[in-house]
Amino acid sequence: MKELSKEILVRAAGGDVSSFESIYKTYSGFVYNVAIRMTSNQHNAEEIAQEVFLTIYRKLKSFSFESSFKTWVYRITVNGAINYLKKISAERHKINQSKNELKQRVGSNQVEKMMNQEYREKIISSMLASLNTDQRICIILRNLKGLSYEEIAKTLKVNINTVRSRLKRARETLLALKKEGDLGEL
Amino acid sequence: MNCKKIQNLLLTDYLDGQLEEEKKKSFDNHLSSCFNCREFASVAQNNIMQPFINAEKFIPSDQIWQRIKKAIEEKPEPVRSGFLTSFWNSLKESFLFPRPAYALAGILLIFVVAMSVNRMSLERQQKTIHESEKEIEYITYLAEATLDVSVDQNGGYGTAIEYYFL
Repeated sequence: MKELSKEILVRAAGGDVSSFESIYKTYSGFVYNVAIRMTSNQHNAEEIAQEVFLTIYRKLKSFSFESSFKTWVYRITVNGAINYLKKISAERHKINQSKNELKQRVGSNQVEKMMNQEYREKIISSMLASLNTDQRICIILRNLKGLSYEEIAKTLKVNINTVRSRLKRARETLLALKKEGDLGEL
Repeated sequence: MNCKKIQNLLLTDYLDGQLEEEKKKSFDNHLSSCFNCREFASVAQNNIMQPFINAEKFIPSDQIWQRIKKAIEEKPEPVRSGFLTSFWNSLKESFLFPRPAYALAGILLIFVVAMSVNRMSLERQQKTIHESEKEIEYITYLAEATLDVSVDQNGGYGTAIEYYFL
């Protein structure tokens, strides 16, 4: 992901739409992918992305260049996704739904175990759905977005060892589910 | 390192490639000699790391930007930070103290306030004691003054009015 120049950020903060579009083009992939992985729902992800960028636009004036703009955007994205999940209160419902769907699918049709993209996506969705919000966001940022432990810690404003501990617990949960047969095989 | 520690590290730094070269070497040495840990590493790699590799990257639809653009154009200017926010930001920029400095300043402030309150309370106590002593002194004086009024043998007070009536 390329770094945006300070000039673009200042112009966007002054209300220049084309500069803000550059920000959108740079970060929309990250924002949308985190949102879709957090919610497993395209419509929700679109709403989150829209809200995240409007928040960025509104708060650009108060962005002090002391910290990294990238980390600032990451933080707004994560908070936006978490707040959205809280708002719709669908997290638990989604987790249960996803787990049940997967059990039925894996049980009823073994042919689906073939390693294809669609099946892989379903496995990823069910893996993420089985984690709590804190663990899920750590796995998304690490495994899907490739952020370092330090970047995740800065994004979530937590200690680096908290990131380690959340990742460890998340992976223990996934291994336990795998053992119980709640996750399909690749 | 024992197996438990190895497996804990394996689920984080090792799988994520965050181990330093030296640690990784000793880690790999352990794995080559320990079947259980090797098996654990293989299961973890295949089941909790592999599925995320080459995961689909979703592309946001153009409609999202159109909606954002429309919302921006309806309210063209980003919210300007208020006077207090700007003042606070400029203050922060002028005095870029690290967090421990803030904490230390906070502790000192609390200490100074606590000392002043304590001092005020001591002064008040001393004042009260002083006033009480004065009151006791006055009462003693009154009592002594009353006793000094001589009572004569006949039970009279020896005042002029007594002589007038008697």
